[in-house]
Amino acid sequence: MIVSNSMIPEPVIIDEKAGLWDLINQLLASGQDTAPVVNRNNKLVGVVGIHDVFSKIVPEYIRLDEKLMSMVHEGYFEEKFRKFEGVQAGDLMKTEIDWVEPTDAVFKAVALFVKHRRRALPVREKDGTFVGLITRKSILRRLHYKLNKVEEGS
Amino acid sequence: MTALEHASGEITPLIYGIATGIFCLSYLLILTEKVHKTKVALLGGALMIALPILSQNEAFHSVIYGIDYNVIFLLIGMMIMVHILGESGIFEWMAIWFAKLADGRPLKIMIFFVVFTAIASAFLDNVTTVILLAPVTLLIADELEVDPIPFLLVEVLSSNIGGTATLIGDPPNLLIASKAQLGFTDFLFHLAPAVVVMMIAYTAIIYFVFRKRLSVKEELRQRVLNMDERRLIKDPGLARKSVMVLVLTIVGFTFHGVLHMEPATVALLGAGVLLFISGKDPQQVFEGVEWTTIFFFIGLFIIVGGVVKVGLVGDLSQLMIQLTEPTKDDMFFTTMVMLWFSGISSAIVDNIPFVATMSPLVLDMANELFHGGGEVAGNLPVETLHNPALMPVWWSLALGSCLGGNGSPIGASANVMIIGIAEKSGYKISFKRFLAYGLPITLLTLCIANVYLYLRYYW
Repeated sequence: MIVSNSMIPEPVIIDEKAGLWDLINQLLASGQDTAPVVNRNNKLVGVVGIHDVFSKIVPEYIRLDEKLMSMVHEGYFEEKFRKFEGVQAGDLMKTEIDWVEPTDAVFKAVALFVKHRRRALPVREKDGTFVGLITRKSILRRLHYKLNKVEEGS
Repeated sequence: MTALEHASGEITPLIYGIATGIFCLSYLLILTEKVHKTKVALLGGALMIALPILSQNEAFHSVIYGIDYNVIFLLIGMMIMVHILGESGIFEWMAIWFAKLADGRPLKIMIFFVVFTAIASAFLDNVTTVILLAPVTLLIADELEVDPIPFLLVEVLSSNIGGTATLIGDPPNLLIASKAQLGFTDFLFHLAPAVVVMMIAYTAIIYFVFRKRLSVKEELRQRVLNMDERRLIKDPGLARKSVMVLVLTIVGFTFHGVLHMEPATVALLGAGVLLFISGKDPQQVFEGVEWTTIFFFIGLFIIVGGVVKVGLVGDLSQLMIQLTEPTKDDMFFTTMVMLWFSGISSAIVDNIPFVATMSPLVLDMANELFHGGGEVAGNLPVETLHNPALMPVWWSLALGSCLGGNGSPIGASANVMIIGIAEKSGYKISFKRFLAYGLPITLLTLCIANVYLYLRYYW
């Protein structure tokens, strides 16, 4: 099994200039937790997800001392969220990301999922051109299909 | 015998030059911060043994040239205790309690936090104090919707002032205490009064500078007043045990002379007892020990031991004697020069390597003045170390090196730490902004120290 036949070839992709609500709506509609961010030349520039939105809201001091999370006032989450309404996908995305290439073995993606607790990885060519998204579910679907086919054949 | 050793075992110019080279290069690298200071100190120390300026036996076991285990184990013991104390949530509980006591008013909170930081820093390491207090400060500022930078800056300055008051408050004091055989109560008796005066002046300045700048709406104050600090303590048993052991350890420090125990033994005993009764996993607790700091000290002790052995420190002390002309009865000028030289130097270089070099220099100077250079400088009798003429020199070294740390962003480890935390939180503290707070306070506190030393020991 290689990445190109286990990936989602046309996943939801986010433009780096997309606003916060646009990003959220696209993620909700697609059911994806994360989505690749591409520029106008279809080059992969990052990955953005619900986690990145939440990360922006949780202040650094809570990460330094998690005991303090119970001290913030009621309505803190909504207030902070409103303050970030003006941010764009490009401000939220992670740029130091793992990716796989279409010709890589699926096992590489599986190993990266396990190692970095990821649910999805972008698939790109060597020159950075975005080609798809590989997720845990897309791998399982392909595996299921392949094993069933083998059984039918035998 | 190696090629570098003279047949008679005397120090040849080559050995002197090599040791001086290792020392200067190491300090230069530490000053420029191009390489992590622990890497520099360890390599420098290892070179001192490998070349060999010091034998391994001297580096590891000599009281005069080797690693000062009193300092090392005191640091490790305190780090273990403070790590467990930090996990208990008691520190955050107190901070929130103070914020509520201040009625949620930012100026009052600032003053309460400044005083709290100074007191905590006198008994805990400064870096630990600011690491524990900075997140609570950021939380309070966030809830009150005020700029946290002034809060963070006044706290870190307070931490460096408060740490001056006791033997365990700031690492330079640990080094001085060990070399001069001074106890916890000596520091409390001689330095704490000066620190109290400094803190009164400092809080008064904070009040006048910020009284018109800090005000918030009633609804924001209510956010602080509505905080339930009891939720911060997840394990009340651990909190009680941690506080009890810390208090007993401080009592132990106070009476260590009567108990015939060195401060390091008291700290290790406290750490051992707390580790035992807390039920914590030692592996996890030991991850909280700042091993980079411990190994920085180890390397530094060996580097300084090397230059003490070859006579560089002796030569520098001769220069100090020529410049300040101290006598057996009067070392006033030396005291004043030491205070300001230490203050200015500690603003530029890390005060730990500075004091690690200056404390053997004072020993050498004492040997020259009181024994005509006839004793081994690192092994002087207590009567000499505690000579009334010499004591103000120790105190001026402690005051200068601790207070000088406020003079620049790189003057003290706590400053570097707070700037890092602020930056990660999205608040950039520029060099200039730090100086705007730090420099006037350094000058003020050094002036108070100057007057204090004059009035207390020379008037």
